Amino acid sequence: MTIDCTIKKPSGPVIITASGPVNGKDIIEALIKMLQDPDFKEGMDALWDFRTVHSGNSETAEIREIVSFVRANQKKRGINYRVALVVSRDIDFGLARMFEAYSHELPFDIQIFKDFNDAQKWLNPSNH
Amino acid sequence: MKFLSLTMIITLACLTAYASENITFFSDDSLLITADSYIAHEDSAPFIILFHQAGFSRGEYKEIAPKLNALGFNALAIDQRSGKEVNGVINQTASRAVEKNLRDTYLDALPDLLASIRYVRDNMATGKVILWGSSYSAALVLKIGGDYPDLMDGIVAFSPGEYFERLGENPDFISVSARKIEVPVFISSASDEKDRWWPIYQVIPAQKSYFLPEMNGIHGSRALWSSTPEHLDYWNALKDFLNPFVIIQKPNPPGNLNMR
Repeated sequence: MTIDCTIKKPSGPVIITASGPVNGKDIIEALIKMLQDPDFKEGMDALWDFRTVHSGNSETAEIREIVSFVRANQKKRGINYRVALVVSRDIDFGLARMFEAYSHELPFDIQIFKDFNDAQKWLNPSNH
Repeated sequence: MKFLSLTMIITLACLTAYASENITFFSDDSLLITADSYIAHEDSAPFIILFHQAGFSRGEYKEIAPKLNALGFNALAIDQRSGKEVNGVINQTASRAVEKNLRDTYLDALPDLLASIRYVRDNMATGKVILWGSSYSAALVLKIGGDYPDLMDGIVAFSPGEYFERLGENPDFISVSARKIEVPVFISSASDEKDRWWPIYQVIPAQKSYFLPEMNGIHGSRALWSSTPEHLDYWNALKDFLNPFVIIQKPNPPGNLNMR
């Protein structure tokens, strides 16, 4: 498993690229790393690129744990930002939809994409 | 006593089923806007236009609007183009924006707010009009309040903030407009969100008040949902702000008709 996090300065987005087998704990560790990055500012948009992950073993409890982490760290993460999830496999699309459903009442926008460029466009329509 | 009267109003709102009506009208770029109207009084009654938070729809006000009716207000809850769904209500304006490949950032929703205000003033309300925003739309109603002072008589903002820097705006985008607000303003939020809106609140020159719950509270207008533990405290504070807008209609005294 590898998760790389790069932040486009000065105002984002954060691009998180994951590959290999990924579970809920890995996602939370990546979120912690992002929040601790000195270049991170609250409210930055994020693009999670899951196109080359294998997340078949993720469970509902793990998804809930990620949502709980985001909720608990809302002050540092900020509000009114956009999160784009890019997936290639149907199973990952299903997991992303599950995350979308559980995070539904948190104050940010989330969209799931299969095309990386569409996700980038959604995050920053003025650059396209 | 205050608690009792609020409880009575909420009970009354539950017992009195004011039917909402689904309506549509156009934004400036011809995007069709969907809204739910909650009309319980004559068109001279004070009117509240309700705007939702990020990722939500007009469904954010499904529980709130009937209670506003019981307090003496008519209301209209809008679907802005930036949003998705809440309480089982899908944001139809946002769906149409996607179909038409229109931009749907929080700032792109600004024309929807302005179109809604104009629609209400032209077609639904002859009395006072109050703008009510939640989260990003709370920030936008404060901006409109400063930039278009003639369009409203009061502003309610749940969890506003300077949310638009990442969209290319200055860090004081909302504050610059808020400095020109001339109407009464009420701001509220979760207790840990005060830092986000306090600089805006400080520059508002008009009559203003705010409420923060003693415990956590919650982001946006959801604070008023019965699922929020502090919702009665939020309602009490809001009611204090809204009460002066409600004018009790007295019947004309005999003999005053046809006076010249």
